[in-house]
Amino acid sequence: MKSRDTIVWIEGLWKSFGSLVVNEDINIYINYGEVVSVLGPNGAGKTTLLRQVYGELRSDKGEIFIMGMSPGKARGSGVMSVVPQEAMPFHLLRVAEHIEMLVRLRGMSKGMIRQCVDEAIDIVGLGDYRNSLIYDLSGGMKRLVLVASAIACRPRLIILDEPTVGIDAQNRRRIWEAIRGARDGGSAVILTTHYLHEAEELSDRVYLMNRRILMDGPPGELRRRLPWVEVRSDDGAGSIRVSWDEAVNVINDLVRRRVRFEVREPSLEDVFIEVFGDGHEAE
Amino acid sequence: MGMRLSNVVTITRYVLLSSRHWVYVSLGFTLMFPILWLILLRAVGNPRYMDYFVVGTVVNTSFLIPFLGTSQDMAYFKRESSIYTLLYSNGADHWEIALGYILQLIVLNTPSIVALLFLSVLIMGLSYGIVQIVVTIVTAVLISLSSALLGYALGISVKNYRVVNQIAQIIPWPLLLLAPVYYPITILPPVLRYVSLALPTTYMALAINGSLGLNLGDLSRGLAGMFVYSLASILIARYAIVRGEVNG
Repeated sequence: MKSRDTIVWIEGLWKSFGSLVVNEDINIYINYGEVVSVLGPNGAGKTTLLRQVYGELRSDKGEIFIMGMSPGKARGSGVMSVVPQEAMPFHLLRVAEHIEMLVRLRGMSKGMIRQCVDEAIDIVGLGDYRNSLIYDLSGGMKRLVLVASAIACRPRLIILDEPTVGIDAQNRRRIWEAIRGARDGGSAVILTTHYLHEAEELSDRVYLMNRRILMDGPPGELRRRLPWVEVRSDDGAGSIRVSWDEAVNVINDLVRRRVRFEVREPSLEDVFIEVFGDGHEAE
Repeated sequence: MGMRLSNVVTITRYVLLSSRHWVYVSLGFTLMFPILWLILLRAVGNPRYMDYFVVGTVVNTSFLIPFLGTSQDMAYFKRESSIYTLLYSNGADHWEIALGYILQLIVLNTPSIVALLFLSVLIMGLSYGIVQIVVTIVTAVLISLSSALLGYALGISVKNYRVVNQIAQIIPWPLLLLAPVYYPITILPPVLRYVSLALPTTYMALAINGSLGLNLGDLSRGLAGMFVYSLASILIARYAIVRGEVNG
């Protein structure tokens, strides 16, 4: 719910392209010091929603406020940083130059720039590549440059549209640490990702959307909405999903028969599949 | 939200930094090719048209690179690489991006025009005074600005980057060959004279001709024509920006 800590509030937002409705009556609130993930299948309207938040698209109806300002004004006042979907950094700049460029566009004072850039480079672990040409870096490192550019100087709102797509586990972990660090520093982070494990790891709250918001809440709360646990055993029965009450009996039986087993609680991926069906992708 | 000079300068600075890797092709296009072209015209061209050869080469240099560079790079930034969105979403407005980019092109292109004018005196044997050269440099900068605005309108209006890339390479040739850029308008067939009146390069050549000849009438008519094309470019780009905000 909207409170004094709310940095972004989106109310009754609609967006269509011709006759195609992409966002339908979206209501979202994001607080300072919070990581909020917007999840949904491809074509669910996540990127369209974010493009309205950072002012690249005009909404048909509804309101977006960032610290009480319109998206255009917030963008111009340097309170937010963005890594757009499928963004690539400016290949022909050096790592430090790229971060510097975006920090300058966000209007940071000259005295702070050097310190901000060095800090951001250290956070994502690119210290050895400070003066390297971005063109010469791996795909994962290029993503790190974008994330470093976004977190530098701790903007109040950081928007990351699929920041970890296609990168290795090590670099993904570095990005996760950067996101957690930004949150701990008081920034609000809006994240979209197809990696549901990532959303589960990072998010304080999650919005599941497919054109409109279908479900929202903290990941733990969403998981608890699924009334089962999965029991996997080595007795040839494979895995079965049973209610918590039934699980006790099933487990007692397995223990009595000395069968190896494991119990798994529902994950965010299970919630995703429950909401969207298993025809959609989830990684 | 008004235009912030600091953002324009930031974009100019970092696009310039990224251009350091293209120094050879930049030197080739902006200096070596025009000089070679002047030398060839001196050797094989009609001596009556020496002044026009200089006018044509200056127009070519101040028009071609800003038009081609802006249209292709803006289309690439916006449609192919998402650099445009990266700059925009992190605080730069559309016109700050456009002017920042255009300013770096002018910074890169103007020294070539200065060198070209001084070298043309040596190569073509023409005697331009310092006032003529200074006025011509200022006019050439305005041509670069006007051409880059045309390029921005093209680059930002067409959604398909590959189409822009091709159109941008084709358009300059009729603009430079059908307009009286390298020769006087009087030697064009009557039909082509009318066609040439609709081409922006005709007014660019008129303005350079007026600058080198210190002919205020030609200079003002040339600048007026360029102003009309620049205004049209701004309106087209503005329409494309608004359309993009609505339709994605």
